[in-house]
Amino acid sequence: MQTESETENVHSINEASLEIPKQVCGFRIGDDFYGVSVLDVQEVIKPQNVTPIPLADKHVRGLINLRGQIVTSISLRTLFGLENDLAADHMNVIVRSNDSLFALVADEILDVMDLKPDRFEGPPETLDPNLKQYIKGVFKLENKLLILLDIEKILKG
Amino acid sequence: MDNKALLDDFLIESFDNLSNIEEELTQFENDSSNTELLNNIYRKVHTLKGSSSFLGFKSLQKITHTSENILDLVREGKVKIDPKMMDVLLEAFDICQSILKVVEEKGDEGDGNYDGIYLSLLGALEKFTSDDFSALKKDEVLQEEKLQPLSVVKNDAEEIPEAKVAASAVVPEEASVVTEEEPQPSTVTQEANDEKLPIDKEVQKDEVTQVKGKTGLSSSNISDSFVRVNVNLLDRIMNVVGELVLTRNQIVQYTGNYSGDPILNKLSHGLNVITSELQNEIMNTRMQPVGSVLSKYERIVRDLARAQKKSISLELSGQDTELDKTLLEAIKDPLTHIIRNCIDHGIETPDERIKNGKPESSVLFIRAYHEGGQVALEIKDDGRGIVRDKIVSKAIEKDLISEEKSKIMSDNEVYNLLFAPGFSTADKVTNISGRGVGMDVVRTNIEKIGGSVMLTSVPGKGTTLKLRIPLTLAIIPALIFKSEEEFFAIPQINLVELVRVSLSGSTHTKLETIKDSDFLRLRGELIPILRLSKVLKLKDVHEKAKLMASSMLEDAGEVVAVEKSPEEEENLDTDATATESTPEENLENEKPNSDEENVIILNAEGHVYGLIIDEILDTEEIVVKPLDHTLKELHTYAGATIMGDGKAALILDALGFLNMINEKHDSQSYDQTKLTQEKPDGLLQGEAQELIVFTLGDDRKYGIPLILVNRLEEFEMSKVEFTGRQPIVQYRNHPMPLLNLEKTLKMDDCPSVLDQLAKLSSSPDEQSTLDQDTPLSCIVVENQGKQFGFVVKEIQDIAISDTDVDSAVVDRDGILGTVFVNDKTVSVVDIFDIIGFQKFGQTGAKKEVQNLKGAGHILVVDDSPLYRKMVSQVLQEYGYSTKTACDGQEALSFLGDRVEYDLIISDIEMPNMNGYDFASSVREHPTYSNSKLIALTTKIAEIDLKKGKAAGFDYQLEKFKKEQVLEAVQSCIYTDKREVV
Repeated sequence: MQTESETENVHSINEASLEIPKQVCGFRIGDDFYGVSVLDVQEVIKPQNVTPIPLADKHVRGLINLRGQIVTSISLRTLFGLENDLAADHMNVIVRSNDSLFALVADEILDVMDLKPDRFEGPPETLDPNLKQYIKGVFKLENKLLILLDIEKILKG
Repeated sequence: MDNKALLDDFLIESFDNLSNIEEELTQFENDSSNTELLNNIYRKVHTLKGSSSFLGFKSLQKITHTSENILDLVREGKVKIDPKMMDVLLEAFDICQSILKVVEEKGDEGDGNYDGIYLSLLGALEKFTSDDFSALKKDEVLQEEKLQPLSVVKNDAEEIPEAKVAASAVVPEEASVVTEEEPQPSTVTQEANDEKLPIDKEVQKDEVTQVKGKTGLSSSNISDSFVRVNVNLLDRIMNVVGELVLTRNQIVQYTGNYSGDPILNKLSHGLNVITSELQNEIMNTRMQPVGSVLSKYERIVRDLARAQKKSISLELSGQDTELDKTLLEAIKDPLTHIIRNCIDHGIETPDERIKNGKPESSVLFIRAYHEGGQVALEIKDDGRGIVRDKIVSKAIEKDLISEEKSKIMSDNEVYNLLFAPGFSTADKVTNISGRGVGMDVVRTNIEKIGGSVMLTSVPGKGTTLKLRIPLTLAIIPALIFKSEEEFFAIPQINLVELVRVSLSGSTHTKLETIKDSDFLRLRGELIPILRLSKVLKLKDVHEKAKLMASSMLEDAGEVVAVEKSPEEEENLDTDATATESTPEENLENEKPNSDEENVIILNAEGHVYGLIIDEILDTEEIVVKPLDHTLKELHTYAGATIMGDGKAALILDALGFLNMINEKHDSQSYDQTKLTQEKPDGLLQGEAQELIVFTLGDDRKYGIPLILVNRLEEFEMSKVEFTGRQPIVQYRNHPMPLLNLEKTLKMDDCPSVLDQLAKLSSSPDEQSTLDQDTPLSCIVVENQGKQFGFVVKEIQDIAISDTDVDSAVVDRDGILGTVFVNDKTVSVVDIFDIIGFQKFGQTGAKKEVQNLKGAGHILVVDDSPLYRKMVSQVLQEYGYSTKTACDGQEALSFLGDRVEYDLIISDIEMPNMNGYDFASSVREHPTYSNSKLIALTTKIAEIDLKKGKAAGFDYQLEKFKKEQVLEAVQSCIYTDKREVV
């Protein structure tokens, strides 16, 4: 089993390395930096009124009305098993997947960063599996690591 | 909608086709290996031939037919196409186009002589099939080689795929439109499929229009006055308009609430009007007259009538009523089903009609009209109508309902059976209908598009089916309500009514509780009631939402004082204006403080249930927005919409919601049986017993299992006669003895109605408190072919009890035991005992029994003492000796008995060892591997027949279909004995 999952990992890294984004929209959750490819991001919006969805998965915060479009808001904190204290001035990163819109909740939006692929590495082995399953890899910034999220896996729930 | 419209359709499509064919032919000349292209051309020509012969254009048909033959040869690879041939073909299609133009102007082919081209086509065809074919072929091969390099050069990569799209897109669409009713010996399978898949067709049509834009103009006038627009584009426009409508709603609400500015008010009013107009117009672009579909049925009706040798005329009205295109496509198939059913089942043969004093020819009306924001379609025949008893007996035969239930069903409920899967009343299956598929499909399809089906019928006069179809799907009327401060919407189509109930007070607006489930008695029906907030766990959700919302409010600058109660805080969070209502539910307590509850009664494909909600707000036209795929998987919500205040609200899916609950129940009861070996809680499934609850002279509650009850009757006191001391009443041409339950149960000090009546009849002058005007309530029970009337004081109710009969507290004869109904004790009367106590009617039966004694030993396995007793009693009456076991394990232990059982009858749902496991074990037993096994169950529909069979049951029957059970028992024992002999 172990070897199998390892080979799988290697495989996914290779695959991921093929599509390492050049530009990443970075955001902060807690003390960590995360990022998604700018191409996936439609816009970033302020806190919105959220309609909770009973019976939905825990990390699904609810629905947001974005100019008439229904957006599903996802709490990355809950998904990654982090402590859930939502900042009042959090931001919603709106991403599109399969014709649906999703809002990823972040504490703070960083800049759009130009990154070189040679700074990229696959997910570290020792990472908390709660988080590891949702990430593509890590960018080594100068004094910080930026975690590149795998949007498809996150939105699959 | 008439022939003119049909002709227009034909022209538009034929022009399109021909201009495509030209292009494709030239492309094919360059790329003769492209068989797909060739097939497309062939199909188009085939379609054109079909439709022109259908419309009676002879020249057109001749030309296209011959062209088709040529293309067929090419397609089969028998010949290769050469430029000369191509010239002929192209010329032929040019001529087709000019014929079409003539048709467009004059309405017919005119007097033009087109024999020239026909002859040259024929000549070409003959050349292929003639003897010097091989020579010709060589010739072609040479030419082919010359052509090859050229084709490579000319073969631009971009051109071909585009043509492919065009070709594949066009053909199926019109094939189904124009040649639908045309018998086609060489039907391309794709066409057949298309008819069944209107949506696919839609998509393909979209592609058509896209391609059209690129490939240039059709030369026709009629095509010029139309712009063919991609339906996807219309959908997108519709979406944007939907959003505009929502924004409009918000602006109008905002200006109404906050603005005193007259200019802004005026502007907002203008915006309101314009938006509504735009919305209407956009919806109109998708609207098509119903007549375009209805007129197609002329032919179907005619053909069916002829096939059935019936004389039927179709009368249409309201053909110009318009309906959304998608919906129009969706009702085609259901309508065909309905019309076929009408003609096949509903309308009588001419002889029969004359015999019944009706005109020989019958009329089938189809009427379309607007009604309450929906389109109603009425299909009405003047045939034989639907006879209630016929449906009922069929339904009983098919085990859809029990005989007992059928007696208390309303006409509407009975008609509803027609829509049950697998139901068909036709005496014989014809090639038109009667296979038992159809009406259920009709209902499913109509309900899928948010419509409804209603059936009314007058026997002898005819049947009317009424379909109600929403105008459009994107914007639907819905009821907005609130539960735990969250807004929800439920489509109006699922809404039956709104009821206000109290937890105390009179029975008909009172909630009743069995175990943890609530029920409401509404006009005699028991409707399950669920509390929305509980099912959706809204409190948890809300706590979470509150946390998030409060942080947001701080952000928005609206500081919430910490001292404020949670309720007030909620109000501020969700809706700034909602200060007038305090939440009805206490956060600490499950039960609401208020005595009154709002209940919305919903109908989800025939399942009626109620939801307790907090507050009913309003009905609104809402725009349905899809949810993302993960949320769709919940199936609980049909989508979301945006409210006037800009917040998103969830739209409940009535059926999905119910399914979700049932699933939950299933898994819960499964856990229960696993953990505590308890019987599954029998509210939505399982072995609930229905009891007729009544009172006797002592005003206590008594019950008789509903399955034993034949009918409930009321007799006038004056109808009661006495033979000696025995009261009888004439019932269905037979004297039926009336049983004095009070006397039989030895309640000597209790006044019984019959006692008083007897006294009155013997000494009429005596003063009596008896009110002779009140009818006598009577429960009719059948035993051994005889009917008995159990006279009771008052029939109160039909109750569902999920507890077993407890026989521990039986204090007198004639009582089987007690059950709890609504926390009240009900004594269950043992009707067999009671009848046995009487001094009559038994002699004949007893004799029969004597003759049969010792006919067989039967092991009866059932966990319910009531059923155990009833089954064995019945069997004993028929001369069998029985032994009973309370579950599979006990029964297995009896198998080693000295007596060998001829037959084993077992229940399915039992603790310790259920019927399936028991049956499998019996089959492994050395003595019993071949003996007969019968399964009895409460509701046959709920058990898995296959599973039963696999486990080894020979018969699987419903409990207390007495005749059926006896018949099965007799046949088992009889065949068994014979084999032994």
